[in-house]
Amino acid sequence: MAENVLEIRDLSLSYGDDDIVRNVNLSVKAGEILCIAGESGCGKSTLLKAIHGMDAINVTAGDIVYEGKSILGMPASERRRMMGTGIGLIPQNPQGSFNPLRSFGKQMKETMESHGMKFDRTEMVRLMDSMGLPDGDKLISSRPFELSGGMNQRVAIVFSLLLQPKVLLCDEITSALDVTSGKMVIHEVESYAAHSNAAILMVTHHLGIADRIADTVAVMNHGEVVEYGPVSKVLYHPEDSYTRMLLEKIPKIRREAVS
Amino acid sequence: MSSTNDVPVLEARDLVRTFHSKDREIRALDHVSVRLMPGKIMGVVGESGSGKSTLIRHIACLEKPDEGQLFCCGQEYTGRNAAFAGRHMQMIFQDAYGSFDPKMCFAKSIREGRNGRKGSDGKKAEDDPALLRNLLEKVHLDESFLKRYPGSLSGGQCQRMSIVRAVYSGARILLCDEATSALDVASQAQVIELLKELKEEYAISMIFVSHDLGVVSQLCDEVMVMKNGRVVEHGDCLEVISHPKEAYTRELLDAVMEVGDETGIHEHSHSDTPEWKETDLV
Repeated sequence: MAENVLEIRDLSLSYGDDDIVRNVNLSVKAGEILCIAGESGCGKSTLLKAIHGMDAINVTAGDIVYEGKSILGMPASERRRMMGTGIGLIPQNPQGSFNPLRSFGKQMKETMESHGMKFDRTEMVRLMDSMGLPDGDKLISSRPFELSGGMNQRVAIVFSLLLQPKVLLCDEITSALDVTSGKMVIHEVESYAAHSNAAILMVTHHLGIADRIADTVAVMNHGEVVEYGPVSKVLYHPEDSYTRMLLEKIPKIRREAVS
Repeated sequence: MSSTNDVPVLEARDLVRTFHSKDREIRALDHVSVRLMPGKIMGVVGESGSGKSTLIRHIACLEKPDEGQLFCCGQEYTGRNAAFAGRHMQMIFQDAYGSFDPKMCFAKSIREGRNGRKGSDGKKAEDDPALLRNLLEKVHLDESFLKRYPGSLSGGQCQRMSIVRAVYSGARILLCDEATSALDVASQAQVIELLKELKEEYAISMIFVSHDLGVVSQLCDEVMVMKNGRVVEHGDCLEVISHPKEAYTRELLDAVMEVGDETGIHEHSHSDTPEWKETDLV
């Protein structure tokens, strides 16, 4: 049995005085995809940010363990080195994470060199192409403000994948994309997990995505995990009433019955 | 204006609009025609940049077309201003908070929508407390909400308020631009139900722009599929979604990720899923 790459143990989080997440237990193995689903405000993004080490979030109880080591007790410098290549995050709002006035190529090169990696332009162009961004050579020299929100979101995904993280945290990565490019992105993340044997934690309110790629699903409501298990159980035989409500309320495509 | 049932409440004929940027031209609307019949809901689907929003912005007179004509209940209104169009049609935007003045309570915002300007007869509309009460009941918000401000409501509640404002204004056509896209599934389901009821009870007609084919198929009578500023397929909603003729429509349908695949549209198996053990929970 493979080891868990990332374990979240009895984790509780707060922003200031507000408790956002309570007693969460989750784990992922190498090559495995865990989807965290739930509605706005359930704490799913906060959970990802805490794993990535945002300062504003207080860990009030529990532990986050990466490759057998607690990352909460880690010195700041060691933790910073690990981010990106160990644990990577694709944020929900990619524009906020780029310098809007520097070209993507320069920003990527800088990021990779600071992690002691070599910038591979061809690989970057290939990844962009696979996500429906042809003409990557030109795009690499363009700057974030010149591109649409959906294009920025895809470039941010390319950035994270190039760093080859062992754990990839994805926060609503298809929110700015339409169905066709959303599908390409999801496919690319799925094949990254398979080829690089990386663990993926994907936060999404879209249960269809969870069904498509996840091995395990955790449903969160008001800061707590209400149901957690393999896809075949959570999405097909849900026990929790909240999970069932979520599944029922999704507008399904209505078609004529096949005769 | 006549109100016979075979005259479209809204008609756009051959709308053309080209946007010019530094080094290229974008044909955002390429001879687009729409006929919306009374009490019907027309869905408009397509990917980002296909011209869906541009279309309804032209219908609402927020933009002027290069070519083409617009008719409301048989009367031409091409080239009129947004205030004129506003008497007959109201837009519902994706961002409900952004469509209200944050410093104005709902009572004031909603009344302003009705009697903030003169109607076609040169008079301001009178308040209609009974209609307002009915509408609030319909959206499941009690009258105490009228005293509140946009920031104190959830996204779904605020969107329901913007629908109240639109219908209370007297407009009989709603132009919805991704009106449910920012909402959680539960509030989304509520808004869909609400729009269906408004259609039935107040004979409201709607153009419903959305990238969500699930929502469109639940709500709309007809659907048009847009790509690069052109209508590539148009017809009865159930028919188009069940038997798409265009490759592009099929591509859109195939890209939708849904839970379960009774429809057989995409294949998916979990055979490679590792077996689950309770001990994995740590």
